[in-house]
Amino acid sequence: MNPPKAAIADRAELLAYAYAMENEAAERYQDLADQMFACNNDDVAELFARLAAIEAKHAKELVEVHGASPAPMAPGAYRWDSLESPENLPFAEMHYLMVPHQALQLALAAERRALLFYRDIAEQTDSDDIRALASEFAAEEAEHVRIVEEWLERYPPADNGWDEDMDPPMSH
Amino acid sequence: MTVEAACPLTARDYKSDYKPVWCPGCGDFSVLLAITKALAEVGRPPEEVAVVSGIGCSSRVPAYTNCYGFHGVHGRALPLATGLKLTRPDLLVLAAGGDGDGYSIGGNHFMHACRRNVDLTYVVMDNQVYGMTKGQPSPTTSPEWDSALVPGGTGLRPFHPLVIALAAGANFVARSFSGDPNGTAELIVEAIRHPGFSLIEVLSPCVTFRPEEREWAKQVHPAPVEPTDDRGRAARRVLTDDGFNIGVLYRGRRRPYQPPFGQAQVEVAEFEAEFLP
Ligand SMILES: Cc1ncc(C[n+]2csc(CCOP(=O)(O)OP(=O)(O)O)c2C)c(N)n1
Ligand code: SF4
Repeated sequence: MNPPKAAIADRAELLAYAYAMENEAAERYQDLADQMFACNNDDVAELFARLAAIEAKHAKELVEVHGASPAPMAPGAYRWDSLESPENLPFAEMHYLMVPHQALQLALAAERRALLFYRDIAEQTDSDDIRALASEFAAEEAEHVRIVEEWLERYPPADNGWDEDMDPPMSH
Repeated sequence: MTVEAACPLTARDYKSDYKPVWCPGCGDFSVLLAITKALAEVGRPPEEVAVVSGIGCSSRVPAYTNCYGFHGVHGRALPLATGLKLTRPDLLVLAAGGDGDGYSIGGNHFMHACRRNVDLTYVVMDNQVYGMTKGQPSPTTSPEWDSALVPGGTGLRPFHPLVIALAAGANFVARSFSGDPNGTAELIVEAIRHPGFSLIEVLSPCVTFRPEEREWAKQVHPAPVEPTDDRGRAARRVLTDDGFNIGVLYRGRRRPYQPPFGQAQVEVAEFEAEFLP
């Protein structure tokens, strides 16, 4: 999941990766909220908007408290182990009829990937400074995981036929 | 990695305030992200960029960027982009659209844009269907694709855009997958920087009319060979691959078309007068 151990050379690099991950997650959740609002799926849209606000706060703290640079590197310069930054929900996973439980399961998986990302860095590094910072970020992600798990309990799983549309775009 | 090498513009600087109305899950969201990431990486400010399109779901891209935009007539993205680039060579001109727009009604313009080799980048979001008009087959649809509109499929051999682009003279040809927005952005950056006409064919699923295209995520793979500058070899490779090879497939060396130097410029008013009674 993570960039190889050698990839995180110093504090500035860890902050660059952390900022990219949190900022992209904030933008992605907001994009998904906008998509769901556009197709009148307000319940899911509101959840994504709340998650966007949490991630945006985290990204802002990285800049204001830790001094991360908000300037991105080239898209190909990030050595993510996955196609995108680990905390992004893939656009392709969306469905206009999805229910909050499904949305939150995707969010939970993303928050767990982010937690693992920082935890792996903390475990693999030889630098005390990087370990301390990565552990701090991992603790924040653990808190996000806890929040999403708590939200999940409030929503029932999707019924069979959740994606049935009485007025489908086209009948096959 | 050097943090100092970071570029100051971000993808968000290229996004407009209009919210896309694509279906959730559509590949075009990722392509829009890739385009904005690529523009940020190239570093030309939005006012120095023009995004030109025809008609279709994918052709809505200009409205969603903050650059100059021209949402043109169906199939006419490339003649519009060509005219714009020739009159304003200082602009970075990007054309975008779908397989229906580019290869069906716009097919003739596509061949001649490749032939002319004006310095343009053309991003085609190929979903092998007409999404906007509710699921008719396009020139890249496989012959057996069965739907309510075409029971039993068209039975027609699909158009092979990359081979046609190579034969017609495109100077850069690449294929990417929307599920990899960073990889797609990298290819767009390279296409923009490569002189002449560059084609990027993005496999971009239409989850509404071709839900089975979600499976593309499992089928795509990096091209197993290095890009070539040999047109014939590139065409043979593309003809015989499985259609899911991702990466730069051809980097040509043709000089981009330049209009004859010193030709008298015609004022717009003068030109317009020819059409007035
Ligand atoms: C002259 C003209 N003919 C037909 C149409 C109807 N039309 C609109 S979009 C479209 C096809 C779009 O397909 P594609 O370019 O693949 O885009 P997608 O919607 O799949 O992204 C057609 C036939 C039109 N708008 N104008
Ligand atoms: S109809 Fe297809 S191409 Fe159009 S927005 Fe929906 S998923 Fe995308």
